[in-house]
Amino acid sequence: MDGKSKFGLAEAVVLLTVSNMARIFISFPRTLVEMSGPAAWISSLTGMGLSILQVYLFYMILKPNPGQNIVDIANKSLGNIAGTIFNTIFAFFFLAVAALFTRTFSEALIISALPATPISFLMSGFIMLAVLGSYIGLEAMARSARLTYPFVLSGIVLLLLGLSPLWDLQQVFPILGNGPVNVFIAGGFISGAVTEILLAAVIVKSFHGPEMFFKITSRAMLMGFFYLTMLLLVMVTTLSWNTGQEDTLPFYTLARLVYLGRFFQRVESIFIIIWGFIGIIKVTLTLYASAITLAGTFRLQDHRPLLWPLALIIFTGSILPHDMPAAVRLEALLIREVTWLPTVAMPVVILLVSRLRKRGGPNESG
Amino acid sequence: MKNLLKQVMRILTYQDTTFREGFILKENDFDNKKTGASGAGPKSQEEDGGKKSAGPSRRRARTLRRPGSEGSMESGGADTAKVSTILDRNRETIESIYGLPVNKDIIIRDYTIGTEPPVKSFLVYIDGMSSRTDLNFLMQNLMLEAREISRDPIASAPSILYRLLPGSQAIMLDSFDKIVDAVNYGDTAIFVQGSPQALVVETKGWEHRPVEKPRSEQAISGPQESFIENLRANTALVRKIIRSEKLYTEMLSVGKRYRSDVAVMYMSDLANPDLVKEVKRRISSINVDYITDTGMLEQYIEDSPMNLNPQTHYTERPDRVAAFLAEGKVAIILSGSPYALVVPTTMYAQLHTGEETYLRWQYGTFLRYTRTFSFYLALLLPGLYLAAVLFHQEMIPTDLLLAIAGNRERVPFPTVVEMLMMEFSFELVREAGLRIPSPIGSTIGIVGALILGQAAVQANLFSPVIVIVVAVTGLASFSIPNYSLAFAVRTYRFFYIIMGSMLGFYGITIALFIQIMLTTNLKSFGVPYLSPIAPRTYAGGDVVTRLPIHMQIRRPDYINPQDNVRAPEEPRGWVKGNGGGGGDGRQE
Amino acid sequence: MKAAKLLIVLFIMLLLQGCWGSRETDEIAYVLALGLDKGPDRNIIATFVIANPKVIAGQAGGGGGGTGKDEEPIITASAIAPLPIAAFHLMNVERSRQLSLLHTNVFIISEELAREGLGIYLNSLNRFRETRGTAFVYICRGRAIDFMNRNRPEMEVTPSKQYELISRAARIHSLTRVVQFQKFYTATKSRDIAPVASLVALNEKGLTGEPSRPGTLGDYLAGDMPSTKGESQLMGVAVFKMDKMVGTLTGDETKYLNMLTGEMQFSFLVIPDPLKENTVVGVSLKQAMKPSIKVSTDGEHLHISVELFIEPELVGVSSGTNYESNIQMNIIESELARIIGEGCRQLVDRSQEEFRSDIFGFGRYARKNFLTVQQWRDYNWGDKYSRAEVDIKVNLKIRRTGLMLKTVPVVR
Repeated sequence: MDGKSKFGLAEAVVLLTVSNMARIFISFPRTLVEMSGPAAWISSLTGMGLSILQVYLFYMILKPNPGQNIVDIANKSLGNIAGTIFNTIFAFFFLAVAALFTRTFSEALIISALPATPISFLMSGFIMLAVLGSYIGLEAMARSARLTYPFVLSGIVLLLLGLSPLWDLQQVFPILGNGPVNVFIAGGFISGAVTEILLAAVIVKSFHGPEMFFKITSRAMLMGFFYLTMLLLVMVTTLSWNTGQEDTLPFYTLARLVYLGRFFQRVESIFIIIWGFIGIIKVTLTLYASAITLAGTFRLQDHRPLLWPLALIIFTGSILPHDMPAAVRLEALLIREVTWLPTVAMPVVILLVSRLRKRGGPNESG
Repeated sequence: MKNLLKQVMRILTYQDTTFREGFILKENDFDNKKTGASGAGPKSQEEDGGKKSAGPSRRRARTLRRPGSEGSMESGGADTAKVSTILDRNRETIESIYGLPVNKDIIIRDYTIGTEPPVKSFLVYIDGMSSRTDLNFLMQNLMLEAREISRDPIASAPSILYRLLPGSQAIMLDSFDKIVDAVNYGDTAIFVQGSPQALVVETKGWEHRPVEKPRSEQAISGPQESFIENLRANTALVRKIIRSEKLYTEMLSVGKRYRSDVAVMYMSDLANPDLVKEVKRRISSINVDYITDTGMLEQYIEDSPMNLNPQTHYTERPDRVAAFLAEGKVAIILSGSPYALVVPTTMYAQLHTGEETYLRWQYGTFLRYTRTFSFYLALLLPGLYLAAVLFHQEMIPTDLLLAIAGNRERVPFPTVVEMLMMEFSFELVREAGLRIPSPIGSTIGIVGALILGQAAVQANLFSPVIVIVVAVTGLASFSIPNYSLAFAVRTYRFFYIIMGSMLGFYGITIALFIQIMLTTNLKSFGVPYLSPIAPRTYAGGDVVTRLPIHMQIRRPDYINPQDNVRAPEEPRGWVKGNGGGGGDGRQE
Repeated sequence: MKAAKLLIVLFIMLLLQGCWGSRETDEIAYVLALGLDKGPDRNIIATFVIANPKVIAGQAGGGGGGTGKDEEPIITASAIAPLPIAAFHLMNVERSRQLSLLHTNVFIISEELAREGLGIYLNSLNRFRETRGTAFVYICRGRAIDFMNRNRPEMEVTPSKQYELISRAARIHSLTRVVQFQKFYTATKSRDIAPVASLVALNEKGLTGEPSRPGTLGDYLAGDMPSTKGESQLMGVAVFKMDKMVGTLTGDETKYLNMLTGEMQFSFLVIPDPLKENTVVGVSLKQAMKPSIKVSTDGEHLHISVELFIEPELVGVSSGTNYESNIQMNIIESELARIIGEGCRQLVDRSQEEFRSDIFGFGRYARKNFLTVQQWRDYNWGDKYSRAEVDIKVNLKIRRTGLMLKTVPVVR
């Protein structure tokens, strides 16, 4: 299953959306609120716009080369050495994302649900599930996502609606939060740094062509950011941005506050099921993408033998941060500084080189 | 007395007692001759049974063990022989094949055909398998009524066949292979002096039970017939519901030592021809001794034997088979088994019964939702209960939690042990209830439930909440219509119990994820198991919510039938106001 | 199948590790309420009300020892430590079971401790995973440990149910304001609203004590209302500025507080009859809409205008006057409006001068006028509020008069 299984529009959209949404369950909303104040939701909308631009960028790279994913295009346009370097950077980027995400997610689980379990146990379980998922293949992953997403998404919506007695709509003001610079520029950049577009560009062979890539990825971005915005709105109105930036896990805190009568309270444990799914899907997808990238770089036939060593790398990487705040800081660092390199800068280079080559060289097959 | 003294003396003096064991099955030379001809794997088994070979799961063939032979199927070379024109030689051949006179089931009846001049002949049949009245009628005709055929001095088989033989099915055969096959199935073989061909007349007539109500798939509405062991009766039961000339029944046979007939039924203008071809390919490539029941056949042809979910639909109701055939699926019926297989199947099809279609759509939808809910309950309730009580006590409302805790105070076991013991005893009750002789069969429910449960609670061995949880789970698992799927759900439940008690809700999530991954990856004859939800194909309005029947106008898409449309836009002709015409579209 | 083998490996690895974190229900002692008192030096005394499940479950079988009546369904225990969570951990030394705050529905903090500032303790409570953000916060007049020891509800099996039901009852009389921990905590850190918490106390005096003056109802602090001795009363609120308690409001004043913030659901008022001396009229109050609040921040002074929409219902007329008629109804309405307006005015003045904290949350409405957080911070609401001009307008219309449409006078 080297990305040769094909699946349809709905499944791909759901897969990418779910993976994109994974970051709202850990500390990411807190970071946004810290940066933008009550206008965090505006930052998220800005990020949505930026991500659509990114989608377009990738679309322009992929369109002249149907049937090839970005790894192949990089190899082709940049030649062997530079292409290999680029692709390796992509692969390691995915690995870093996966490692940090595993770490923060397992920390979140420990804090919220399983305080007595050692973290290595949780992380290794996580990674082994990711290996299983990548092994069985993307088709099954997409179908599983398709199967579970009604429960997942409606669970989130129910939570957000169940908090309606606690909403205080006045908390959304001052409307521009910490100032337009912070809100639009810094906040927009932070929330717009998504890895899913690059991921989609790697697995694009499973879509039915670059046109579908555009549709799928843009829809996935819209949906993912929509949920992020809703969560930020609810978070700001319920928790107030001042105290909201104190929470390690805003989503969990929100889930703890649901109080609909004597019977239905403290149901946050149900949301653990929702988190679990989303987290597992994201890590699986990232691991799969990095395996495929490496396989494509070195022109290997099958990506499956790569899975175990990559899993080991992810595990080791995820143990590296000292403590939870360090992990959160590292993630913020990764998002702010590093993500723009592989998701924007390098594709721009690839785009320019491939266009130049086409214009210059007469016989490039495009 | 003297014997007793002798024996006591023997014991006291430690003498060996005389050999009492009698018969021991020794290893003998048979084991050394392994036929490596059809190499399915390094091991070959002593006997048959469900054992799988260790090789890749693609090959289903098994090695054969024939005492004393080198790979040919039947013993001796005489079977490939042809019928000879000399009657006595034929009789010798038959006697040697069947082992007469030792084998008393086979009867050879000599007689003379009453033509002018008379011709000697004998017929061969198996006592008990052939219908006596048919035979008498045959013989009456051959012996008494055969006046006209006299032109040739040798009455030839064709003329007898066409003019004298009043059997409803009769053919001419000349190879002993096929003749013996037919006789084994209950037909009668007639050998005529001077004819190089034998006649085989269909005279099957053995004892079988009448068509009864279904035992395991009961329904309140709809037809109440079920299949029986007779293949022809079964195909007739299906045919009488689908009265179409496009319904084809192809006969295949499986089993090398003991041959069984398999009927493959499908609608030739609906079913995907690739599907039919694949089904036939799989069945005819099975290389085994014999197959007694459809369950064994199912295990030989399914895609993933390791997966817990059943990949074929195992049913005993002809109306269900007919409904599936009308969708474009393929039915497989084995002679001797009252269950039929329908392929391909999806999990949603296994959760449907015909009852929802026969009732109005609101009731059908209600039934479906109830069943969906009980499916989830049967799967997840014990696991979720354990996870909540052990890890996430904050979820439970305070008063309920204090009640549970209070009831558990005097119970000596940890919750997991309690749960497992209760589950196990429930399975015991279920299993034992099958086999209890019927006079006390109904009391086992009372015994099991009341005494075991109530007394255990009174004795403070279990808490009442566990009893309730287990009982509800058991009831919920009974509501799953497909027997195999119910087993699968019961097995999955144990995994959830383990994972829930180890890691709480996160464990449940992990187990759910693994189960979903493995189930979505499953394919049943090329169709993904969870169609039409994953992957999304046109569902035909009939997955969980059942749409009103005049809205179900297309067939489900995942089997790619040849014709998608069941009915036109509005199948109810009378609605258009004209009253006449009726709905054109296929009648079901 | 390869995937199955992978799974088996996974499974065995999981199983080999054993299992952590699973706690049987009979290994845990559930703390239903947590009380905080001031202790020696910088310590606090934390009191835990622990549930005794076997009594609560009321199992008749296996009756070793006394019947359910002899054993209490709850056990109270206390410990001294610098932080509530530290006390919580210390308690585990004494109890045979591990304490758990998972079902602590109520925090009771003594007034003494509240006046010193609660910030330090709230921090540890917020961080701890087991505490509920939906627990109620009560301030106790007197010592929390006394209150909790002697609070034995007769109709309820567990105190947790009692506290939860009392909190819901607060909706009916609106003489107190029930607040959940999350809101309380958020308010202690925010500039635009000051936290309040309900007052509880036990009634020591029985039926002695002053009855209500007409024009007010429930003009007491908790514990002062004359009623049965020994019953706990939830009335009035404690007012905070940031995290320090600065005062209390009686039940009556709390009613006006609830009106001004739009949280009053039902309440009751008894006013002196304007037409006849020495008689009273009783009305039940309901709020038709949330009050409309406009805050204008330009200009020198802060200007806040509040418009209330009250819909009372006539409940009792002791003078026999036919107030259901048109003209009389206007009289009653204007009298009611006057009284309510006065009550609100007095409360606002008190909040501005005495407490100097914005307990009504007008600051939330003021935020609309600012574009960025920085500007809002610079504005310094806490300071400006004390000098603001507040206009209160009461729109009152008696909608219904109960089952009687006309009162025929009693002929003497």
